[in-house]
Amino acid sequence: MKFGVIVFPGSNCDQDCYDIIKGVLKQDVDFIWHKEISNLSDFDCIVLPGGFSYGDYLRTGAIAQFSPVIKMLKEYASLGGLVLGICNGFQILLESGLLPGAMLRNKSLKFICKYVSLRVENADIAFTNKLRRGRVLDVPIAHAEGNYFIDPSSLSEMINNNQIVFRYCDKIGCATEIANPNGSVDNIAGICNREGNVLGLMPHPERCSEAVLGSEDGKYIFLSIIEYLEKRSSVV
Amino acid sequence: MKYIAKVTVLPKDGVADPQGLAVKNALHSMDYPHVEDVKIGKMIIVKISGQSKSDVKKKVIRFSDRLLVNPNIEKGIVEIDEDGDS
Repeated sequence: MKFGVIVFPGSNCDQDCYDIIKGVLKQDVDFIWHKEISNLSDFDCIVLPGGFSYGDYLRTGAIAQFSPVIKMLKEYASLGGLVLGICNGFQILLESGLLPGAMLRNKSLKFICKYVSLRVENADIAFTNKLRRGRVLDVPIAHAEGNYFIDPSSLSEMINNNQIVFRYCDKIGCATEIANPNGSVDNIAGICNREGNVLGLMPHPERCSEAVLGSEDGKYIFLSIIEYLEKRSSVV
Repeated sequence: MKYIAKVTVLPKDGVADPQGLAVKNALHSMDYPHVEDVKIGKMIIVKISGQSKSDVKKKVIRFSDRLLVNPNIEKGIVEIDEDGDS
């Protein structure tokens, strides 16, 4: 099983993702420079890490969508490949149209860097099968543009399709206004595409996948991916 | 022929504009209570050559929709002028 971590100019969580996958999860992983790859078919899961691709110029993730690797990523995703976008990676998935909606600046206009509570809303996809619906995870966020926006009719469509994967909540799992750190519509912290093979989330699971870092809750996302891929390969 | 394209990008109606809101509140506290709304966006100036103004406008609208403006949250207004410096 092989993971790929895409590196854009300005990515800065690529090494963290690599270290968790290689060092903690003991999986094969390679960096993918955004211009150098000819195809992604050797990979079982592609991670778009956090950071400030292209300096966040114009809009977060806007310029990265035209990197050569994104064209291949779209094809990879359309064939069912797993794609995980974290923070800036999520913003890139939104801008490139792999996930619906867009990001606005945080309601407070401030960069927010802190642990938040997340409620698992959909535990049936490749990224969450080791979790259960309603479980509360402690995962850190670090962003200035995490205020997720989508128009009301597309939102209800997403809710009906079970595309809301994580919501910001309080310690006991209530998605209250006060628990919403950035003003996101409906407390949304993470979403998937209709097929469930592309996940984007603003919180950083790679920053909380080792006990020494204060939480291991993020590890469940990576463990879910591994379990899904193992089952898939045993079927094949 | 050389042209200057001015693309004004603004938050779409109904989309939260926390910067605009903060500035509106500041103007109110400066004793301008009649300020009803403030929207903050950006202006992008593009130098471009083309056959005619309408041809250039079409091109600018096309690439604005793909890159300069995110139609989920923003609206773009495109204005084209001849480049006086050329």
